[in-house]
Amino acid sequence: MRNKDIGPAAPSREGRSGGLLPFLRRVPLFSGIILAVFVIVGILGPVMTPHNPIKSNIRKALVPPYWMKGGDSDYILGTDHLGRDMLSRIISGTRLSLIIGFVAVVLSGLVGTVVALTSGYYGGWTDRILMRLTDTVISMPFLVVALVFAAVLGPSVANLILILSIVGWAGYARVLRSEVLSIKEADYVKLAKVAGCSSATILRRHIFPNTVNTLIVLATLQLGVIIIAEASLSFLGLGIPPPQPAWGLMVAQGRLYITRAPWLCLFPGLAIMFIVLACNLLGDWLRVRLDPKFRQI
Amino acid sequence: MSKKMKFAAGLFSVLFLICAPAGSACAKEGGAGPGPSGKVTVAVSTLQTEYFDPIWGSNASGQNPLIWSISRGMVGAGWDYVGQQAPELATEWRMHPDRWEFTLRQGVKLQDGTEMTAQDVKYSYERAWHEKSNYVYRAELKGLIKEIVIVDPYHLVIHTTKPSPTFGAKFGGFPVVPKKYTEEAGEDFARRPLGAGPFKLVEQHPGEYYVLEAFEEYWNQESAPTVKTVIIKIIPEASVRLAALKKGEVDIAWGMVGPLRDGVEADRNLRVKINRDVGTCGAGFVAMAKDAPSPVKDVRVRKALLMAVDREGIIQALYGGAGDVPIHDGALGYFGVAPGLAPYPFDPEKAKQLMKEAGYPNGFQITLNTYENPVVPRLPDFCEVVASQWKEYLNVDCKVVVGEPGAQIAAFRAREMEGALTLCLPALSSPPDVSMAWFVFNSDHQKMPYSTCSFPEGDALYEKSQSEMDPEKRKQILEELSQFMYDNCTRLWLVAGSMVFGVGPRIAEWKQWPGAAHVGQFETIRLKK
Repeated sequence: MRNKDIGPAAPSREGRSGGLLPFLRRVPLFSGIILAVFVIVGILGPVMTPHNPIKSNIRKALVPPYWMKGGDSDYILGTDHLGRDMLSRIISGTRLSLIIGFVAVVLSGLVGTVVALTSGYYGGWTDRILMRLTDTVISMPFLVVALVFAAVLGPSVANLILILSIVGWAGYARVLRSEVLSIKEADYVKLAKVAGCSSATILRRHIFPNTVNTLIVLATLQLGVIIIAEASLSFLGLGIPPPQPAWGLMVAQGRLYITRAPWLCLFPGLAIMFIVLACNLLGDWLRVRLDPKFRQI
Repeated sequence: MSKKMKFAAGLFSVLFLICAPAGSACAKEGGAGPGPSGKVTVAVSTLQTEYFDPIWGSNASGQNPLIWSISRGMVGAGWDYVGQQAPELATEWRMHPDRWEFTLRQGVKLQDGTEMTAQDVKYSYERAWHEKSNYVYRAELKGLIKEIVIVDPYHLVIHTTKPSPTFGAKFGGFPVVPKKYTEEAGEDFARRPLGAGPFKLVEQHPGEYYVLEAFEEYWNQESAPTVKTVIIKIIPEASVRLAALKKGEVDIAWGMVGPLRDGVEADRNLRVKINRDVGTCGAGFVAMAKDAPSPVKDVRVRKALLMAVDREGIIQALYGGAGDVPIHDGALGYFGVAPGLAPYPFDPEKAKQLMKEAGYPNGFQITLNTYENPVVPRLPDFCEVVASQWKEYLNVDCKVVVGEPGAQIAAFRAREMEGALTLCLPALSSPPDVSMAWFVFNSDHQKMPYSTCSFPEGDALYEKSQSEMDPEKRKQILEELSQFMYDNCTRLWLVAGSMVFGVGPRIAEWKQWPGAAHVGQFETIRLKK
């Protein structure tokens, strides 16, 4: 006799198949689409721009977006105070922002990971010294440090990446070190030591791979932070030097015209907002997706 | 007293009690009664030097609204054209090859209550060249003045070591201070300065605001202040100054250029006041001061770079037309500008041809360094357009570097900079003529750090202009120098700036010296009744 009440419960079908809502929960649709658009624009930027983003046409200064009175279909998002096409500059700025963001994230992630692995695995004075250094960097006000470096090194894309990397690595080091500390106590690591594996091998084959999930989440979240930081430095005139288009610089230059030509600030501001939002949402999704504890939910 | 008289007296008393406060209020607005009254607030972004002691800073006329409100010199500025000299504390002067003779105005009250005499004038100059003085022209003054002889209380003779036709323009306006008071005050003078100007400093909060009060015994009663109190507020951000003007917190706002000017004009209660030709801005090439070959050493390249820029269009777009295309360094109205000269035209085709002739048909790379300048604002934007047009017409790749002025100027002077740096010459420099423009930016770069040029022929003309006492002959020499500067396109002359002020509804009238880039001449302010 079969008792319907006895026996293991059938696995829940919720979240596994069917329905728009479950699907939306499983995939980072919004952030994915936004980021994909930005990445495509960044890659294809030079061929997508309808006008030269740095070429001024002073007699076409402050043309409104085409849907506003006085707009021109040649300049869909209007022109800035020097007659440069806003759409072209935003597209071109996307490329710059993404390049700076990705490279700075990779560099700071690299440095932070090395510091975290070294500090967490070896412990002792190595750990103490490295962590004090990390704490020092974390405690320094980012903008002040960035300003000092920018003033000393001068404004350029390379220097900007260097500055952002210098101030960005400490966050990785702090978080990853705590991961390393717990992974170090795992049985397989101890067994590897007993088996005679060198420290380098243990770090490379056992510890580092287990920090990758956290690293990916951190990097995704950090991308948004780096882009904001770059925009802030450009806003202050210490980021990407003109005439290259930088979103932060565009906002800074547009603020004098905020009442007369609000599109100068609006469109680069929206670009910054959407890309950072997408990075944060994606990072959040990855955090849930990659954390083993959340996989069972 | 009869009943009628009592009634009349009572009525009169009541009317008096009612009307007196109203009358007092009218008087506060300036002009209703005798003596200065009322208050005016002026917003500036900075005071170039906040020291009131004339022996600090450069003291170029009109550059420091504080010093020139508190103090005046023997020679003043006129109202008709840039660089005009007018009697101030001296009623007349005569120049000779070896001396200048001054007749002082009698009855001039100094702000310490004493009457000005030749002793005070002599003391003021001696103080300027004293070893403890920080006067920027201290060495030149000391080298030029052999002796100051007091003939009588109202006549003095300044003997010079060499002929100096520009002494009156350059040093004649040096502020006179009261000898007795200044000696007693010592180093405290900087905090409690006194002079012979129309205003006294009554309060100072460095970096925030300064309060001036009308000096009621000012010698020039025809031009005495009608406003009792002038407050100069420092508001670095231009948009904040505009907001303060619109709210009525300030009556005059300095530096309302570009979109800010639109903001002033959009408000029916405000108006714009433009002072044209306040200074020229040009770019000097560091490479010209070095031995290594460089495209910019070729005059054809320099002319091409100039002619490939639509300066008129940029001025129209960025400054709303409040600016002019310069002929060369120095104000358009300077004494000695060669007649018939016109600015190099915007001619991209000619520019390309010149580049080809010079051997650079495919352009080259260059850096244009610049900074925000209070006399000619929005230079970074200007330079961006210049870079864009150079690229478009000449294939010159120009990187624009916007930096901190102190660091950039230091690097320029040390010749450690790449490319060119924009530098501005205020119109009311000393002396305000073509020789000053040459001296500062075009004379031998080994002697003048702001210059990168080396034109012996031009320097020879300059030296000649410094010793020629006949005004007509001197004018001819200066015109020759002007033509030389122009023909050799010694620098890139970008813009002859105009200063735009926002003026509030309470101000009925306000005059400024021609070429004055900063606020000043507060004694000419008349408030509406």
